[in-house]
Amino acid sequence: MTDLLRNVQDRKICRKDRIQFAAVLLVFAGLFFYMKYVRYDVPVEDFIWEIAGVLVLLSTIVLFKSLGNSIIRVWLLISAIIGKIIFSALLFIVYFLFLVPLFGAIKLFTKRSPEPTTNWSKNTASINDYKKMG
Amino acid sequence: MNILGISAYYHDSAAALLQDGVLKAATQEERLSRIKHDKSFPLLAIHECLLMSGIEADQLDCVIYYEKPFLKLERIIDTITTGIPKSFSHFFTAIPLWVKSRLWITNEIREKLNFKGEILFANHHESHAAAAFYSSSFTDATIITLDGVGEYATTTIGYGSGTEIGISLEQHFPHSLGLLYSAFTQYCGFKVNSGEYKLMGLAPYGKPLYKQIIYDHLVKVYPDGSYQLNMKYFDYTEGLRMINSRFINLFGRPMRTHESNMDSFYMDVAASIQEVIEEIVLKLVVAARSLSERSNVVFAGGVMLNCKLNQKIVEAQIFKNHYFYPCPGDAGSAVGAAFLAWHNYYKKERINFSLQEVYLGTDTSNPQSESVEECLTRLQCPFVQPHNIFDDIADQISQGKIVGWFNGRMEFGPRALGNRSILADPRRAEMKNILNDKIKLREKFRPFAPAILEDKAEEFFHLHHTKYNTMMVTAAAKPGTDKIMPAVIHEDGTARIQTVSSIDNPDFYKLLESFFLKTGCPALINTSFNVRGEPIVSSIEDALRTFLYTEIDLLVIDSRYVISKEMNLEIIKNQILPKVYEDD
Repeated sequence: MTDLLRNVQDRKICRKDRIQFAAVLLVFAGLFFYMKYVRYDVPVEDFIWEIAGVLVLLSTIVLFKSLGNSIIRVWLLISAIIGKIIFSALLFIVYFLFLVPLFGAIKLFTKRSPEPTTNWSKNTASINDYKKMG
Repeated sequence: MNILGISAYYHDSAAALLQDGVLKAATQEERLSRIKHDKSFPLLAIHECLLMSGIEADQLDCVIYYEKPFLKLERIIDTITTGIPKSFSHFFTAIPLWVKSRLWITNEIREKLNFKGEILFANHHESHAAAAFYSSSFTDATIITLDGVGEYATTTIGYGSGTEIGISLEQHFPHSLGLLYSAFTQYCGFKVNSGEYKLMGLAPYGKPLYKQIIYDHLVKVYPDGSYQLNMKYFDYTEGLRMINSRFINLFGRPMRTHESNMDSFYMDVAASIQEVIEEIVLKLVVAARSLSERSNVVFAGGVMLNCKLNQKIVEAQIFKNHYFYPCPGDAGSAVGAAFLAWHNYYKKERINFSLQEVYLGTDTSNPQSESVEECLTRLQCPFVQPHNIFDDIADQISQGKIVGWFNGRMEFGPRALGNRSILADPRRAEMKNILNDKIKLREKFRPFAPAILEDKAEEFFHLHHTKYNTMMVTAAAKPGTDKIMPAVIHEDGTARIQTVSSIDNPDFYKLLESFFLKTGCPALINTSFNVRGEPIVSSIEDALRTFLYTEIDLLVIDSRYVISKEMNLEIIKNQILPKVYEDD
């Protein structure tokens, strides 16, 4: 464990590491976007700006060399212990189940949708469909 | 062609039988099972309808259920999954009921009725809409339904034209005026789906001091008459209660416990929500009016039992003519579903509907049932048959006697309209307390309604463009009316009147006329023939039981047989024992 820590600490953070880390973040955002707006079409609050906001925030950290390197080292260390894919999956869960609702709760990066002017819906029921139970 | 409509499993199960387009019979399960708001499969009601129509189950061409069970279950699952983990209690209450019975309604109909014909399913709000439109005299009308919730819809605006009906706009769960009113019903210490009318009766005692709080926090109303509830304050999507602690903190007082003393705070809350509901619905009616050129409007759905709201609607004159279906709750949807099958599925023409078709329940003169005289003889019940019963009974009422009036076919719907009624003298102010305390055994604040001769009603009440013959609309009393009939004028100077004509109910009309000739007062107190928590009496035995164990002085059956407390009733008391009913 100590060796592992020393290896990660001593190694140089290269462009490949930065690209990998950014790619993981982008995959998170893409997956979330797909699940929320394409696959399930959840008609609740709009989180587009939260996704963009969190990405911008984390990307900025990556761009600042010393701070970014520390974050990537932590990522590399944990990935080395439990494997990159498992860690990415865990990060995904933490990111979307914790960070996004948190940002949503404090209204940070939340897109301000225009005030609705009605709550009527068009009738969707089929009047002649009497043979069906639903 | 025989079509059976059924409503069941939420509250007030019922059955209705349409024979070649004519409504032959309709009754609520509670009247026969003697369980208030009985929601079980309405087997007793179905058999009663078959009996009254003189047919067997195998002569039915079609059975239609009043809603789409799969769609409703989908909404419930949607609600539960959105609310996890808080909605676990909801899950464990609702899902087993669905799995055990509600999903198998087709099998249940087939097995219990041994029925092999066609089984259809209507949409919940279409059933409401159909009941209102097809039972009205209009050939063209806007249809508004306001309800707790059906499948998804809670409020709809639609249209009816000839034999066709349609729904144009709807609001979806959880945004529901019915559920908003029920939330306040619970907060004020009454039972949900049962005590809403008590909240309405309580409202005139209070001031609408909390109206702004309701608008600021609980409900947002859009200019087009739609509305949105702030679900932060309600629990019904997640738990088993209507409201949560945020709601309680908003008003600063705990939820009133059932049966505890009533104080002015809860009266003010009741007055506030009543006004809010009235204002929202008026906006909605304005919006509905702007959608088409139609000048007639019909209403259905449980919210329309709020007769004070209905008064505001007719007074506002947004539409020219109004019709309020007399059984607007889920029970009435059994009728609506049957009409939908007849008109929309089988494409048959309309047949005129009349008020006579409100008297659709148990019939004492059905040749296939025991006659009244046979029944009284079997029970060894003493009785007399006065020569002029109407004069005699009117005379007794004018002397302060309280009469149980049991006549012909039972009413379908929540109101007793002169066939299963308790009658008393409205000129005696003390009669309200006597009836509440000694007969009905209910809360002191509850008002009583008058039945009044149709041709005299306008002398005493301000009437508008609607029929007042089904107790669906209150009317403001004219100056001096409260001096003539103080027992039936509510705190706010209104009364939920029933106008009676000789066509609507000939016997009841004769009694009112006799009372008028004797006293100069053309009205009687008319309250349903039951005690608190008891369904309205259906059979002669039910009527005898309520008569024997309350302080009703006389029981009149079929305008012929009179039983008095002065007679020796010991034998019959041994045969008909008292029953205890759960408080409503």
